[in-house]
Amino acid sequence: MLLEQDFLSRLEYLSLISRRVFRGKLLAQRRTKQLGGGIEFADHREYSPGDDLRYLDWQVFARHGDILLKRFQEEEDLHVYILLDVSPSMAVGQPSKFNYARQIAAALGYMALADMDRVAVLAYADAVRSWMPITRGKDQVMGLLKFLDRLQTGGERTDLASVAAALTTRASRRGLVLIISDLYDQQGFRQGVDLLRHRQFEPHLIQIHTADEARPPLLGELELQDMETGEVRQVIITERRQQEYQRRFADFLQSISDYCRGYGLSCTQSTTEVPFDELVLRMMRTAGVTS
Amino acid sequence: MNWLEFANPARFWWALLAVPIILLFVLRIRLRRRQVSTLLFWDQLFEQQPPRAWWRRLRNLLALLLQLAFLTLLVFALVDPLWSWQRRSARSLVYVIDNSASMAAVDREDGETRLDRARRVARQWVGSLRQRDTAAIVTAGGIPKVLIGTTADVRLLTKTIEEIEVTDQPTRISAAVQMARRLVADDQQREIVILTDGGDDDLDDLAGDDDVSLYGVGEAGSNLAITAFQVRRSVADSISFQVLVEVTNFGEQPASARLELELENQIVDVIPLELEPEQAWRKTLDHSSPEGGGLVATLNVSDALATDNRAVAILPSRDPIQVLLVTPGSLFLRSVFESIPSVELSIAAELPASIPAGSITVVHKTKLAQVPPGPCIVVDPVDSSDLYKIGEPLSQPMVAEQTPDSPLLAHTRLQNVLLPGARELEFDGRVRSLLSGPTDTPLYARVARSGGDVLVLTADLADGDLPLRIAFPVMMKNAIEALISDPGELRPSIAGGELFSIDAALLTADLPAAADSSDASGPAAALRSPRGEVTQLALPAPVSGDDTDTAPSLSLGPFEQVGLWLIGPPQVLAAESVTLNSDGVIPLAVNLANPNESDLRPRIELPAPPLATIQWGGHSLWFYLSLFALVGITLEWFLYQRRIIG
Repeated sequence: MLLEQDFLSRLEYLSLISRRVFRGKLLAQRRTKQLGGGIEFADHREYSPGDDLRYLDWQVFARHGDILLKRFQEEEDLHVYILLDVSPSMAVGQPSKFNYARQIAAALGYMALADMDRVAVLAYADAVRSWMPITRGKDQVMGLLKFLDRLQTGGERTDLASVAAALTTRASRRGLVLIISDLYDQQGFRQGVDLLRHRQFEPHLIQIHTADEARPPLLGELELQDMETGEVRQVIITERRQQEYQRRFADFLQSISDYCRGYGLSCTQSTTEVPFDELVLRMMRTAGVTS
Repeated sequence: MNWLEFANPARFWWALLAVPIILLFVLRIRLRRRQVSTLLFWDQLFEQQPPRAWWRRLRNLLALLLQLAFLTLLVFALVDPLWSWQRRSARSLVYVIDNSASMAAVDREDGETRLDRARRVARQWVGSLRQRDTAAIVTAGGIPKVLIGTTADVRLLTKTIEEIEVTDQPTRISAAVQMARRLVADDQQREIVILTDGGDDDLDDLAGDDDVSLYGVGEAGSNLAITAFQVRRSVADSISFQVLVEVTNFGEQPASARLELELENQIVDVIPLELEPEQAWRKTLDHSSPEGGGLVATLNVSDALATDNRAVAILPSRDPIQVLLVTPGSLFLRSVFESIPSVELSIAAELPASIPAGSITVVHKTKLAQVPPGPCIVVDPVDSSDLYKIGEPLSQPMVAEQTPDSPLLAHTRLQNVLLPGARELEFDGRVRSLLSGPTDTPLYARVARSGGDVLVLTADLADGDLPLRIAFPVMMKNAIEALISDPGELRPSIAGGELFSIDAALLTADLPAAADSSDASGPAAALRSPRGEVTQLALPAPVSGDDTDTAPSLSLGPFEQVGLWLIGPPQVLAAESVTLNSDGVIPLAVNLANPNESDLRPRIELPAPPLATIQWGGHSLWFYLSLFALVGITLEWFLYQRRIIG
């Protein structure tokens, strides 16, 4: 599916209109600043003894008498880590959340590779189930797509915390972490995101869910089985319970938004009814990369 | 099992419904399993209440047991088990429903009559009959009738109750109860339930009977009623008539009304009335009209009972009296007969060969070998005839004695009056002397004969002063009135519920077409009610006498409706245009004229009827249990829907 021509054409289109997405204003709203020997002027700072006198701004000294040191932004490759949730809960929906998540991952990965950024993909559930090492260059796009196409849902539960710990261990450099998941983490997704934050990664949450999950068409006396844990609950669902469920689910989505806003993280929420490219465009519009 | 029987054992097959119930239950307890992405949110929902508590798990089994219990009740309701005591307790009910005239009273604001209320109550009672109970329906208005014999068919009983109509007849509860007792002889099972508004004087006695239950349906109400209404032709004046009318206030408050009299839709009199409570206003009214017809009295008042606000009577029409005066010439006689309003006079010099039927012949100073047939007045006979012999002239032709009580001499005083020219009279047959001379010689006499009476007056009108006296025209008028074969003085109005006898000869005489028919069963006649319903009458066969056939009397009634009834040929009565004056039609006036029915106030306190004679047990116990279970299941379904659907 990911290798079909129509899909690839849509990725190409997204790539053309999203130049310098990850270095722009998308997602974290912050540039990755590596000050050093680059050529792009960044700012000034006070001179301190021992500094290289080649970087003194003589023009400022001549006009104002202030001894300031010029700082330049050193350009370096951006590391983009895509954490793709492949837990069993992602298999629901028509189309499934898993396919939807793969399409988003492919689109974002494509754009990153087209920007000459470095991309790595981690498919995870209760642990990292599959890993695409970090790679660079647009010629790696097909490898990325093939990797995504081969993925399957599995695992017993979702544990973002352990996956985040594994990432911080494996990742050679810090970078942007795109978490594409339904975030139905029994242990709580916040622990994993907090860990990434603390390790100077820049997490971005893309929460996807289906319309039926938001408003389940369940009524009467039923036996509900958790797709991940296999646990079973015998319940009587009334309309009042339905409404209560919807309220709690809305609270869950709101809590994600509140969490991201609280820590300055980027967050995108969507149902699978929204086409993936429309979702990506919406993200780019939010970032101001395109109109 | 002698102690238990099933009315419909074949319906035990319904118990097989348990099989699908159990199958459906087995399918139902295997809950539908739905996979969900996560139970995180459902667990939050049910964290306060464990979704499958132990009592909830038991609930399924309890539901199955309840369903099977309901099915058991349903099956028992269908097979209808009867214990032996139930069979022994079967009742035979007789509902006696009063449909007398007073039951038409509307004494409540909802416009419901007393009979409507009685019907409604009786329907409820019939609907509460138990299994094995039987019921019959008897009406108590007028002659009691068994509308339907003992039956357990509730639908038929209900239909019969619906068809009960009010009659304009008096209440006869006692007779109805006797009929009910004859209908159900077993006094152990017999229950007579009476619905009435009172109106029968024997209710007090009935209230003490063990097999009788009395219930009242009336409420106290005031009522103005015409309690008597009769009309007759005046005996003194052929065109006058007298109306006897009585209006009674059956109420506790003074009442006012307007009484209107109409003769053939022409206003005759209007009388305003002011009546005190319990006052009966009674008056005889004099009016005159040669025309006859239906005389209607209407009481313009709005009260509870309308039946007694109208009364009818028949005023016989007065036909002109044909008088043939045979005289050589007498101005006195001519003038006298011309002055009588109802007389149509014809004058002849000689006695004609044949005398028109129905006419009165006056023979003056004419020689007669034989007195002409029919009623006849002979004035100053000149020769003997077949009825009398003429003797010598009287020496003292003076009236010495006058028969005091004869209508022929009403309003006259002729003693000591000279009758010059009078002669001795000697009669052969039955004779009554009206005026006689000093030697008891008859001067004015009445001879009775089968073809018509004959009056003989011996006096020369030209010589004496008798024609000049006021008494003479009065005497001649009395003679004409007395000789009329059909005086038409009184056709009494009949009270509702009474029988009326009519001479069958009157009917057969007015039925020429039917008499000519070759039908060996004799002439036919019919009776037409005020509503236009025509009923055939079976006329009694003539009774053979010694020399001639005599027609017996025919009993009619009691009449169920007040108003004008007509008797006559069926083909005439069947026509829409039939009137009182149609050929061969004899009208009959029927009025309520019954104070007992018009008085709507209860004479004894009667308990109000309960909704059903049996509150519990009207149906079998299983019926109520099944009903209860059905209500429970409906409630459970409602609550389930409310719980699931909201």
